[in-house]
Amino acid sequence: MSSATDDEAELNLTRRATLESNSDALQGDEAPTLPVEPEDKYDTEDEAEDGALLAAAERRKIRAERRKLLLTSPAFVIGSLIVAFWILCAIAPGVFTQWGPNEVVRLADGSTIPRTGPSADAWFGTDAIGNDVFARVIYGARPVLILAPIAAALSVVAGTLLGLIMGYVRGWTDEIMSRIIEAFLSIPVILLALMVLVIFGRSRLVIIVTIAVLFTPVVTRTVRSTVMAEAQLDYVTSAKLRGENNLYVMVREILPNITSVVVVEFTVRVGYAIFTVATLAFLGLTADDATSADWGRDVANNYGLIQADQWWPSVFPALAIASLVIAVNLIADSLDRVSKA
Amino acid sequence: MSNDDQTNDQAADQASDQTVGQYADAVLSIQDLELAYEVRGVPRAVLRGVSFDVRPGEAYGLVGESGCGKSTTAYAAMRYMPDNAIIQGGRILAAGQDVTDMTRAELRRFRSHDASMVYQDPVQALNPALRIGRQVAESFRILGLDKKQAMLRAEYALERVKIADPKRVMDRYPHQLSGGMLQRVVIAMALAGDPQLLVLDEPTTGLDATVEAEVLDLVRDLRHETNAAILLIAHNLGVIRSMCDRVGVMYAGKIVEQGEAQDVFESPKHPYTMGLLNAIPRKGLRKTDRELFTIPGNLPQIGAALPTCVYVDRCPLADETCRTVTPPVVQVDDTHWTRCHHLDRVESIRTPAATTNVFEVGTETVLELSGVSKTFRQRGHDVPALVSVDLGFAEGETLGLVGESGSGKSTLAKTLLGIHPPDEGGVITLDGRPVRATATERRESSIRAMQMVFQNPDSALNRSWTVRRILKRTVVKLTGVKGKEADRRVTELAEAMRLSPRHLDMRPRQLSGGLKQRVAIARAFAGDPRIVVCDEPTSALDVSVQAAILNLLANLQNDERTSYLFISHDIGVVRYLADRIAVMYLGRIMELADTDQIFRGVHHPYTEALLSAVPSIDGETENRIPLGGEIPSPANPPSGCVFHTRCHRAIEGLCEVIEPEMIELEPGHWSKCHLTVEQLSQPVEIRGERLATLAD
Repeated sequence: MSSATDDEAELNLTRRATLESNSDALQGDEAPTLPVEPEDKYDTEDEAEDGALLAAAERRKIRAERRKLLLTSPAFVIGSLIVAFWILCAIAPGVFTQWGPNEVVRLADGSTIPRTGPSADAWFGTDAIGNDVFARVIYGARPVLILAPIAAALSVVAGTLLGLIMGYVRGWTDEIMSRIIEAFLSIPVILLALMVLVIFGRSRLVIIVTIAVLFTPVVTRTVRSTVMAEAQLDYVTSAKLRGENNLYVMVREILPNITSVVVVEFTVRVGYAIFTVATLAFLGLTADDATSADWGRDVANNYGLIQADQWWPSVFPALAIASLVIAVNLIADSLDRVSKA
Repeated sequence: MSNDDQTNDQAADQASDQTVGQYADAVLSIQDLELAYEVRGVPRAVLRGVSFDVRPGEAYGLVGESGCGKSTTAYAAMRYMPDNAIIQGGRILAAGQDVTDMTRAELRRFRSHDASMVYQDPVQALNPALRIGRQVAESFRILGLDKKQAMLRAEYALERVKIADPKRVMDRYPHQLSGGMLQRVVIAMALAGDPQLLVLDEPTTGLDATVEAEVLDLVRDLRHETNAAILLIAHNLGVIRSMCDRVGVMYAGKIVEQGEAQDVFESPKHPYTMGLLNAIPRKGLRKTDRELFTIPGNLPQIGAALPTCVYVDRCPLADETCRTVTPPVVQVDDTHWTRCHHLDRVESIRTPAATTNVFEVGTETVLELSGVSKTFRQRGHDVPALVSVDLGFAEGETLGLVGESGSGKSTLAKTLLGIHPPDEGGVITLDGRPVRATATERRESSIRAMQMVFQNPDSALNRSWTVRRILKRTVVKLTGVKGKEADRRVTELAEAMRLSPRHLDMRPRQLSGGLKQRVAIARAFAGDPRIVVCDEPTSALDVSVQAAILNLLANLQNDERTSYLFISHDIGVVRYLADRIAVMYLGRIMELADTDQIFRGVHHPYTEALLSAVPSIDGETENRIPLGGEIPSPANPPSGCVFHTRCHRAIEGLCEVIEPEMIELEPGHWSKCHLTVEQLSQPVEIRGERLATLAD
């Protein structure tokens, strides 16, 4: 692996530098003069010839270490593999299945096999019409993976902005906005989404914006508390003491120090957004036409068949939702752990 | 060096160690302890053969800079070790048992009956959700007492640590008690099983000097009462000096010198001990006398290969012998030994030459505060944190600001800088012109004139910025220069702070504490300030680094004629740097005088008590004046003179009625006290034993 050789090279570099500095010290002062003059001495802390290089190397080392920590965490690896698989499905579903989502499975003799359980012909079985459940699951990744990340990203951008303002400016701005957020959080998410979608119609844009708006208060609260802790630090005071304005302090000074929180928050929100998109689809609120593959809607359309012992057309899409949500959460967890390490 | 040589050396080392400082009656006997922390599969040496004994009734102190292995040793004595710690060699004998191979049950018994530990932060040592009484009683329940007995014993235990009203204290929760009171509680719990060994790890580090003195008095009394062996870890050499019979000086996981406290502190025989002692401003040293001694370089990293003398890379006496032969233990007298080839030459590194700095103090007032007050509103109450303060700073002058925590020192600094605005009526003038209340309203020239160096450089420097960016932004913002010119100025600044160019491209976390503080100082000086507020700038640093920072501040002042407001709890440091000293209590300035005037002759009773509380590293035992009780709440200050409730010279019928005016005791020496010079110079009679009382 390339990262291993990278690490080695860095290690060598550091080792060489320390050797050099040691030999410097050995050759340096043959006969110590007494008393020593401290002013020439006290800042020789691990001085090395290729100092700037060393600084960069050290920084790279920290980054490499974080990368290594992530790549050796099973949770992160498994989560990433699952997410990567679903992304591939969303991009090129044809690679994984010979059937289209609305294509009726026909055997070699031309016969159809509707309502048949998992078999070699249809791995996940077929639904009432005779479509391949496996194909529908593969094709179903696309709508979720388009809507959820965009909605999550929007909510994180908005939440970070609001959180920065509330956490830094404080005062009555914070008071008023906090009350609004609390009011927002007391409304059941699905209920509100239902109403909005009924009023504004079910386009992709409306779904994305609705989910983003619903998630923004939660993101705002997380970011706000992080910013509040950050604003207590003296570097913020120091920025004020050189006359920086609020916008500069928030965006240039504080924001870079809360990025890890924002990244983790984004990942967590993606997980929740997948869940919400699927739930809305289950309730029939999708942007696409009624026959397109969609995990949530497929569950809704077929769960009644479970009582007729036909569990496969609903359980497999449900498992698909679960696998994606869990995978995203695994990634979020390991990112969180690494950022705190 | 070949492997054989190394083992030979080690063998020789061990052989010589065993002849040193072994006492048959030792309660704690650490013998050649080698301990490593495993980091990513590689064991990294932390303790490299530590040996010492502590006898019953004896206090043994370990000193050294942070990272030298003091705390690891202390924790190892109790076998409190992280999972990645490996004992690679040696033995720990405590109370007649080998601590290293105890079973869980034995260990539990050992920790409840034979040995106890007191930690640095009593707040973390106590459970915030349980009442004090229950927690103290728990220590007795472990010993097998029933609930009722345990509660009775708990009450007695609190009485024993001189808490005035144990019943009421037992009813409280930890957050309702002050730090000093909590540390008493923790000590009471530690003494529950009448341990033979008491390990104290920085027990007074978080406390004010006045409270520290009281806790130390208590430990001293208890030591005689219980005859326990005490192992004391402290970075404050004064504490060690005033408490311990014998001391061990640790460096890089090895004891380099050991002996009776007086011998080690008065005639050190190891270059490291000498360096540490000379780095501290002691015996009334002033910046006008000489620079402080600094130890070049850094402590080696844990796990570094140190085949011969551990101190060789930083030692001014090091020569070829030191690099090739491990120094043996050299006996100076019966109790005093050192690991140095050149102990006869240690004396020669005593002091740097006299300073050439002149520290001219101008006659013009740069900054003046008149009638400045600051009232905070807390839960509907007015809390006056600053009450009508008048102060002036001359050009090139350092004004030292001292007082217990909560006395308003930081509020004064922040109000002056415009971080929060003063109450109506107070005026701050810069070069004779009044400035606006808050920094954001102030004009550019006033902003660049006043800057600050913070206590904690980790908090003061933006961790995601490089040093270059931090300095450049400040230069651009404060001086208005841009581009190449700004880059040039940044390089100049770095040079003036003795930062090497490579440090400019690093981020704060890649720098040591001392270097970080240099960056912070560079930032404060970026716009040629007239006055710099230094809020405890060295209290987070080790003494050798502190010395370098103090030298830097002194030199900068000499060159730039900057004024300093220097806040510190370390009286020795203030004495070294300050031209004048202001003493604060409950938001008021109680005394203001030249440094010399403060340290000789008469002063305000509060100053008197404050000065007497400082544990002296020079071993002089002054008559300590205990401050009764705790600092009153500023929300509800005492009537009359605010200090009368704790004053040992208070005059009944006067002090609690009338607030004294600021009067001039002698030219330039102001004091807020009713007493005359004659009355103040009378020796004071301390009545009886002082008990720790609750604040309300």
